[in-house]
Amino acid sequence: MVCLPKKRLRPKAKIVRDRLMALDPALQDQLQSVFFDESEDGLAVIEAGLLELSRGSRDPELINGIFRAVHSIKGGGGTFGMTVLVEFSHRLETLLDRIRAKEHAIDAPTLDLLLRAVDALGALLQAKRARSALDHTTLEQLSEELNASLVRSAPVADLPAIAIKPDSWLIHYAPDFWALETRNDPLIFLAELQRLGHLEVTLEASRLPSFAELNPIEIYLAWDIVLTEAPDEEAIQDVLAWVEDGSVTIRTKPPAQKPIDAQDTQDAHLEDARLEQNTHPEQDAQPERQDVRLEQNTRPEHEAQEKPFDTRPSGLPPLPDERVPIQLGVLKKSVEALGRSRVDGSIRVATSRIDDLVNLVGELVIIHSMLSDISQSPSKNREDRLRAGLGELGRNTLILQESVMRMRMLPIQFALTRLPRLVHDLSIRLKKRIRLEILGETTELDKIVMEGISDPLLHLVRNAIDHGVESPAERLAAGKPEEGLLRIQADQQGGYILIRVTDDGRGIDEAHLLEKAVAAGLVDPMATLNRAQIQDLVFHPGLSTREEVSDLSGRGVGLDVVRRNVRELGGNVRVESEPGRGTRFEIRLPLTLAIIEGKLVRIEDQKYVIPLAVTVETLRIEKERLSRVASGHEFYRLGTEMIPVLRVYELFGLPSTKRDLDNLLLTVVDAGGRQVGLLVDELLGHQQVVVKSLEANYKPILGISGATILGNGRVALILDVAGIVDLAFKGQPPRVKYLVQEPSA
Amino acid sequence: MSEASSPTLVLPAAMDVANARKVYTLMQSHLSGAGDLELDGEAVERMDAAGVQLVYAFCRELRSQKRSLLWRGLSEPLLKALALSGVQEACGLPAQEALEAQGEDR
Repeated sequence: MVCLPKKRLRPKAKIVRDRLMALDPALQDQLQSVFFDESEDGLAVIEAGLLELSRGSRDPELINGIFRAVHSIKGGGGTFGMTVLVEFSHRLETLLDRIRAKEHAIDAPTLDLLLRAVDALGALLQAKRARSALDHTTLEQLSEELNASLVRSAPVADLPAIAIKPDSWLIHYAPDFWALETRNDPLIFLAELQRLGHLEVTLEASRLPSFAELNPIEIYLAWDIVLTEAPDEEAIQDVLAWVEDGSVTIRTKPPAQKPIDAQDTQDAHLEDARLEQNTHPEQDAQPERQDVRLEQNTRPEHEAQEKPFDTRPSGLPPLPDERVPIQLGVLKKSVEALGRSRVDGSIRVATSRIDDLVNLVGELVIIHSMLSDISQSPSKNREDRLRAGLGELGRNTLILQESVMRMRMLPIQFALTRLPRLVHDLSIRLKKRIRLEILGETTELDKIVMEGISDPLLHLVRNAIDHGVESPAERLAAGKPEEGLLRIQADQQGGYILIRVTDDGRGIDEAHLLEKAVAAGLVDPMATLNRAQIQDLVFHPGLSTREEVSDLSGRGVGLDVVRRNVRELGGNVRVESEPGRGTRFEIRLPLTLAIIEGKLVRIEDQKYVIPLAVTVETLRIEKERLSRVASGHEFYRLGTEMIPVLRVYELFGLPSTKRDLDNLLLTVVDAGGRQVGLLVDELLGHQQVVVKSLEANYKPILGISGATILGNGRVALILDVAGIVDLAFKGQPPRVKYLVQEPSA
Repeated sequence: MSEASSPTLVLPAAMDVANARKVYTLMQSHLSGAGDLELDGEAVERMDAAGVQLVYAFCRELRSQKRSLLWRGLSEPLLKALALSGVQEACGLPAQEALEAQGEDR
């Protein structure tokens, strides 16, 4: 047996790829799914970084972060043999590399190109994930644009235009102490590097304790490596990609015989690299390593091997960074620091939470066994023991429920990630200046709710930019600052989350909106509508106050869809606007859809659950407040308003018994900003219910959003108020004319 | 090459993390003695970074005790591992001469 078998002398990524191919296909899919999830996180980092650059930031770490994210996606793509992805991201990476080396200016066309390229990269990843066709046309076009941009690469003003061809690579490798426990033998890494070119290895043993204090299974040694005659950066990164995160830094060695005027710049760059190393938190914790690297930078024997500059014009070949150390795994850590996780397909769950669940399930198994034992063994205090066991079961079930629910909760920032880009793009397109403020982004809500609210939020933001915020000239004329403000704020209120989308724009033109509604026959010309009712018309399908139809909004479609989507999530949306001062949309959503708070009511002999989220109040009917209009609809006078009354038993075709109205209750519910009353026979209580999907288990039924199983084992249906309103008005949404006040009976 | 009177530490076939604690204890027992020491690495078949580190730490400790180390035998895997990890000089095996020494010893 030999220490370094020849079989191992291949790039590690290729070995991993080969091993992947040998894996069970299901496991391959699982690994690929993780790659896609992480890549989407990476894309979010890239996009957020590019937007930050577009706002004027030139933080080197920001640029490095973008570069690393692209590099990680490229590396992962390579592992899974995604050639197109690797080639495309390589071009993107090359341009970013020029930018971070200050050899390419960060101007508006470049940022626009990068953002479009990131979009294409995202689409490419999505297509790969869905196993659908790639958009080769867009990819080729963007590749050409990236190539053209690279050819045009011009240094930023303070640097000379120098293209540097690396002669050798300086690699510092300090394995984790426990590297061998994870089967990462540093010798394999060294052997693979040796295979790529000529290797000079210098041992660095500053971490090694005295022999007496040595733990023989931990690795204290580190190495400074000079690799010459290496083929290209790709091959080196291929090897480096699989060593432990943060254990490697790599730089190219600056060429010798530099032109005199470039010498200072080179030194300055090296200095930059050192400063950046010093600011890296991981390295801050390991000062010994830094010192070694600094010594390595200044070693005279390295200078002697340097070659002249390659002064050819900037072209397409890869230009590895010679100034900034690549910290592997930094992206992953930054993403973890943000507490990020996936929105669709899967959720990342902390191992500790899984462990808690396993413990709880263990408890349940014990309780089951205990209850089983009690039930089979006659004893005097059997009932007491059973009661105690059930109490224990109840407590553990509750903890289990909370633990599982907690797993599904994600910060709302996942639903907000697309907004900065949208605001950026639309501001440019509509020539408006808009500042986006996001508050409460760590507020957590259920994954399903999060997925459902993402598109409505996008629509509201699009609407605010298109309709709400005025052009800079209009704003100045109105005595407002040139830059408009768009604020998204999320807050938790009990079992609900409140999301407010506020702009400081022109507000809703109420007179115009009412005029349009009347013209469309939606509102009786004689109707007296209060302000809220008029503003609520914006959610009516087919109504738009915008004279010009744009592809953003102004077609009268959109806000009605927003309301429908929010209702489907068990929430509601309302609008408040002040002419000239702005508009605020307020979305109220349940934190979760899996378990809801509801009022249990009896209608005839059936029990139903009315979600608490839509319940306003329940009151005893006063007959004299009821009235019926010519159309046959019933109304109840509630304060100064007349609210439609719906007899649910009629709508559901239940056999009706003769009943005295005085004994009935009216549960007032919010049907998307409009109140309606549901006639119920009895209020049985208020409780949490577990929602079971009718659609998944039976079929969708209008007016019913789901079902639940009550404590006695019977099924109770959960009312869908919006659906009931649709049912009552034969599929048509309630018209404003129902709100016309009628004389009381 | 070796002095007859020096004690000899024979390195086992597996100089890897799985055997590291055992080798460490063996080396410790030799460090508690005095005088020069011979190291026989002829039997080494497998060596990882843990093995390299032990040999390096052992040599460093001997040096700090002002004791001399003489290599008696060197297997190819041992030589390769020491050369690759850059410890051969610190262990008294200059890179160029190491291979020659291997030939002589064999």
